[in-house]
Amino acid sequence: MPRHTLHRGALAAVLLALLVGVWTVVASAAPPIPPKPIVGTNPAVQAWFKNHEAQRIELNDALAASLKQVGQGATPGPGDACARLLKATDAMLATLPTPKQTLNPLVVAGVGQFKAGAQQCSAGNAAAARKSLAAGAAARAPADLQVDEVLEMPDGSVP
Amino acid sequence: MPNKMRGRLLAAGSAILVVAALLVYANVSTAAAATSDPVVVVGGDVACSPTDTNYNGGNGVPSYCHSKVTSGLISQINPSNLLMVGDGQYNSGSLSDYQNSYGTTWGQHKAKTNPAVGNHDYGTSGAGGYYSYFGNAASTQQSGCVKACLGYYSFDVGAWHLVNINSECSRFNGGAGCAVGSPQQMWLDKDLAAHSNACTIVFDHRPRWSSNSFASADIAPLVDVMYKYHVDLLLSGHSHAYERFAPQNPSGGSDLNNGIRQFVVGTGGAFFTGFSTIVSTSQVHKSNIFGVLKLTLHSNSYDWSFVADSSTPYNDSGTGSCH
Repeated sequence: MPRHTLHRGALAAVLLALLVGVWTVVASAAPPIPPKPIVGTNPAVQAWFKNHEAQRIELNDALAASLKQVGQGATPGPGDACARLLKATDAMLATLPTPKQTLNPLVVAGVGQFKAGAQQCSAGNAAAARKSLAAGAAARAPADLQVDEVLEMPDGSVP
Repeated sequence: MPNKMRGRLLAAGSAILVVAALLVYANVSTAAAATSDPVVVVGGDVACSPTDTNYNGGNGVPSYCHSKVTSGLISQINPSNLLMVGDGQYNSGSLSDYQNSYGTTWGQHKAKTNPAVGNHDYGTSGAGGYYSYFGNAASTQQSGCVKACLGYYSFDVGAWHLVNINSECSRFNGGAGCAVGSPQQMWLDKDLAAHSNACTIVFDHRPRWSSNSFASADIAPLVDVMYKYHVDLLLSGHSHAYERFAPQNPSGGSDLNNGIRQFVVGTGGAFFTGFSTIVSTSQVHKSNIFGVLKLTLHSNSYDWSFVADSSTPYNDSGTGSCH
């Protein structure tokens, strides 16, 4: 075997040993890498919620006012709480779509029933309105928890 | 030395000694007052279910299920009160999980705990596990209530007034639990009007502001009331990270004179969530950490200090004034 081949082989062995040594030192010194924070980090979803806060707040406030009104017996007429709720439900439904298909039915859960309740209230049917508003609340509460669970899942795992 | 001169020297010396003694006394008194000011600890989003794959016999694994460690931090601080800002027990807040997981860690501090109900607690009907576990501490207005309770209450710690609100607004009052005109909103208005303490804390589960998707619009009407009565601090969880905001008005604008400073402390041990677009008023934000917030409540100010789990080292501390 020519001498220069031997030299090259020895040099390669030394370099390899150095690389392995350096890699071992670096690997043992590196702190454990925490998982990448991928939950709650979708800027489009964050922006959607932020941009539609006003509709959600108005829906809640109109709902509270309507609950008071139907509790006392409906007194329909222009400017009343149920007319306000009807308008708020339309505004909330108009916020769709969200950036995530999975969220679409959840963020408006119960709103259809609230709308029906508002129409029944405006028509003077307080008993039917009470039922519809209760059904809307019963649909919305568990959907809110589902929204939270979607937001707590890794972003890419939910369409 | 003439007698007259000696007398003057003695008098001057005595005066110096008296002044020095008074100064020492004043310093000692101030120090005593400072050290006797109450300390409260804040944290939420705490314990994994024993059936969680990362539970590991209660010891957790890196990045998951660290309630045992964070409970140890609380023991070291030894606060007068522990403000548990919701979701004490994952995933559904059942009573058996509260007893077997939360109960063996943060449960050691149950006698000094003032809890807030979280969204995951409603994974059990009417948050029945939460209300059964914490008993009257969670429903001081409805003694004996163990399910679907109102969940909001107030009390004093030292010179401070503390208010817990139920931020699971869609769960009560026909789905409008925090709206304008709701019983909770009217109660909060009345409670804050009746307590003229210089310093006030409101704590709950959902933050009004958060640099991710976890900010709650539902509690906005309650934040309006807080601002009206000059509430100093809003302490929340829900976002599993640490975030400190500048004092803000209800619209989220910076308001250093009258604003509400919010801390988000969802770092109690369960798991991590991250950040997205950072809100302009966010002064500090840190994800991938576990730990608790220590607050020292002085008569007209407060000191804060984030106390981190040693596996996720981090520091944030400072002082704020009441308004």
